[in-house]
Amino acid sequence: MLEETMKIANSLEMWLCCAPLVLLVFVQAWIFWRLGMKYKTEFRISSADVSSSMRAGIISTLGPALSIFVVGLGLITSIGGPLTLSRLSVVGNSMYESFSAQFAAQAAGTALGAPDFSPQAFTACIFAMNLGGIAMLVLPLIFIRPVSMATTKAAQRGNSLVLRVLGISAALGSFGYTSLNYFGGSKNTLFTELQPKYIVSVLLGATSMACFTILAKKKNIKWLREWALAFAILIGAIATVFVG
Amino acid sequence: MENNVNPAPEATNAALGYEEASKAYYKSVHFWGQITLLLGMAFSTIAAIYFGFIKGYFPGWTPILTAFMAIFGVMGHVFFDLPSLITDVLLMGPAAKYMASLTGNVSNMRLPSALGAKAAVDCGPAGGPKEHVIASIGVIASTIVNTGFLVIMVIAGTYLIRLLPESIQGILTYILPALFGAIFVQFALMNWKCAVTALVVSVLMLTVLSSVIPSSYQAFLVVVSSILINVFLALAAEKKKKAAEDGGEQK
Repeated sequence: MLEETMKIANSLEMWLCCAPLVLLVFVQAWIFWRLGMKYKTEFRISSADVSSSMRAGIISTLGPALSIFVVGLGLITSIGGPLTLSRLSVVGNSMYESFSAQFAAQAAGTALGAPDFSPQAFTACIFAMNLGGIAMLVLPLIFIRPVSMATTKAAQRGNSLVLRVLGISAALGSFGYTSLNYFGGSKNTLFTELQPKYIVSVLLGATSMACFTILAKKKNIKWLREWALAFAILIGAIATVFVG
Repeated sequence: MENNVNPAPEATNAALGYEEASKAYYKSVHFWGQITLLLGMAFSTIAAIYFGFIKGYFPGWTPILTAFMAIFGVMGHVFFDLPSLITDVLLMGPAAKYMASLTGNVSNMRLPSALGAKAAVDCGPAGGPKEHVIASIGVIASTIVNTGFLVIMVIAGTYLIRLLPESIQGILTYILPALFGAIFVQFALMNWKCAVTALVVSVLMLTVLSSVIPSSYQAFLVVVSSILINVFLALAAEKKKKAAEDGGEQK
């Protein structure tokens, strides 16, 4: 029965059903790209700005994208290629998709990859995973507009010093909290259950970033400034190999 | 269709002032953002309808609802996570947030790519359209890389996992913490005083306040209190400086 189900899960029909969602992701990116480029001159965005922001975007995604890759390979074997591709391309994250698939299979009285994983159980997975995805889109659909309008209005009124501090503080607060939270294995604690590997990667990532950036600035090395983030991440991650 | 949203045709855009341009930009962003999210919801139902009702594999509502309730129990707080939405909009602007909502992986990929892009470029006035366009470019790049990887993964299939030795898979887990630390430093180098405040607030949140404040509000509250404290300190410093200058002139 599992074999029959996996045949359905990897069928052409399944691919066709999942393709629109994946295409939508690219179409949306294209729409917002065009919108940004349309007002390039008015907002004083140079082509150098465009290429360095693009490079920064790619560099900060490569690592996490690779790790999703690994989780994704696990999902492919249990729910097939097309559903994995479409669910991992939109909404949520790989962890969420993995356990919603598992929940659905269990609710249908079987398990992922079990011999009695029927087409019905697979369809339960399709329903549950997509319902969850739809539920997650409701809030952004309604609230991004008012929230963004309020912040833009506040930005226009406030003075420039306050705004500069505000932007930097928001980023520092968000990333400072998340970084320190890693020390205890992201369980909203610090100093208890310390995780040496996480601590090493956060601290080395941070210090090597500081070294590279300061060095690049002092000696005026342009390429080092752009690649500093990539080097810092690699150093932080690879160093964990040497921690017991 | 685009002309309905923005009645000004392309040719006259160059003549638009900064104010009108940003008004038109945000209007289009919200229009397309909401359309694409609605399409995302609609497209999410295709496979379910086809296999459930046309091919006749419908498993009945009981397992579907049971599974959904279980998902809701674990992930339900995300469905109503307004604090994160506010933080995200503040950090990356509406266009990037619409994309992040559709493509997911907000905290591990979209936020870092948006902030990385912002840190790499001189963004002009904070909270202004340039900053938001730059953040959206970072997210576009990240979306294309991420989805491109997924397409390769699905096509190349399980063959690829054998190419990655176990030790490298272990390293992948620690890429994200290093990334967060590095981006923090990137911003800390712009204003180290703000960085100290953020660290102190984070430490307090993770120790003393950790058991008092629900975990889903912690990051949001750290962001808000860092902003408030730093803005207050910056204003106080400016006032002091001004007072000193005035005093100097009077002498």
